Amino acid sequence: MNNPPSKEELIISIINFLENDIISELKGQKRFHAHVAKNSLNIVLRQLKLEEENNSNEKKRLKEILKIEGNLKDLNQILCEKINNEEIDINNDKLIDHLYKTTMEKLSIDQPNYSGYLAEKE
Amino acid sequence: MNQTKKEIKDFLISKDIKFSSIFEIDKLPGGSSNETWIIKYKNDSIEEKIVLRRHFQGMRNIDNKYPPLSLKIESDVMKAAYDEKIPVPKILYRTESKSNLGEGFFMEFIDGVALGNKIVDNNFLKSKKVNLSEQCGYYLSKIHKIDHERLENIQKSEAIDEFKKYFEIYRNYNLSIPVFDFSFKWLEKNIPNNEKLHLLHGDFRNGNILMSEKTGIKSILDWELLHLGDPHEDLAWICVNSWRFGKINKPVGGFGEREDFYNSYEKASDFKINKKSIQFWEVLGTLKWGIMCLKMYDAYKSGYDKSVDRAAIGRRSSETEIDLLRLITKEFLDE
Repeated sequence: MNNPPSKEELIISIINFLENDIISELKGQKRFHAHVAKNSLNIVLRQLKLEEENNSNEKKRLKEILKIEGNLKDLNQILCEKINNEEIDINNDKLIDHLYKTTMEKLSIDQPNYSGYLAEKE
Repeated sequence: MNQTKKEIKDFLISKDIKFSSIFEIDKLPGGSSNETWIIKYKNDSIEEKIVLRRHFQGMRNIDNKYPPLSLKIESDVMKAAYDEKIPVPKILYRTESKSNLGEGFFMEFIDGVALGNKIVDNNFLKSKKVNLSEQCGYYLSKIHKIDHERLENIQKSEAIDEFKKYFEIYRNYNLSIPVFDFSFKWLEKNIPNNEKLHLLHGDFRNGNILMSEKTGIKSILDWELLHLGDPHEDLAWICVNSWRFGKINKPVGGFGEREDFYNSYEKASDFKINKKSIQFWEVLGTLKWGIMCLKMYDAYKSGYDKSVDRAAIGRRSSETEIDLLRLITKEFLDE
């Protein structure tokens, strides 16, 4: 086990540094890139918090739909194949429910301010 | 002054002696297949500008299969649009592919706002009489009415071609994104009948239309994706949520209503808009943007562009997933 700070604390310290000391000093493309860098760190921060639960929910649903075991990557690949070769119908309610839930979980990490995410949450 | 700047100045002076007063030449950042240069000069002590657009020099052939549109064709179409009184920059001079500057053209500089997030601001327009959606519908119908028979070498790309193109790009990334496969399957089952071919702008959206806060549309830019196809493709693209800049309740570019846009388009043309086709093209447009995000990320992964935004943009592809699900299962249900 490492001594403090935690990885989250380290990331937050860089986010604050970018926000308070760096962005205001920059102009044009570098300023834009510093903003993007801050946003990327926020994505990582959310992912550290939410990924484990999201992935376990996703895997549980995939196993139920596909009726097989496997890791998340393989299960997703098989789902894509079955959608493609029409073994799973795109009107299947369970499928649609799974796709909505997974997408919302992804966006809770990637872009929780996205207009489509907020509209769907309502 | 570096070599390119000298070549630009020499070329312009050979066309008109007024360009001996050129005092600044800058290349704009960005641009994937084309470069844009701004040239400043003085005309009777008044500062004026013109713009050079030319193919990216030292062309890296990372995408041989879909090479950028020839700037000769792009300027032919812009000239035809200008002649039809569609607001586009006037083409001033062309440069040949064998010349020092390579293939390209000089055009007039037009002032205005193209930044999407500024245009969707409720306070952007200073006049209540201006309706941007109506203007978009009107000018888009004029673009679609351009007589393309007299223009040469314009590629055709209909629903099935566009579908296949993006499906192939997605497949080549070897990624498993179930919402994308789901959407491609839905598209495959909903391919619309071919419409009579029209000239399409190909990238008619908020961000590519120069606006003024007093009069609305000033100039329609970025014609490099023009092709012949189904008018619904252009009609749908500007309504894709990715181009609403957060204003999801203003379907047309984040600034307007569908009714105004469609009505003004139909009034100015003899074309009847089909809602099912709009849905098809809005789904395909959304998916296209999702795949373009992955494509931009691929430029990072391949080492071509190591910038922080090329890395991050891959994660924006999930934004399109929620839009795709809503478009397919909800939004067009009661219509």
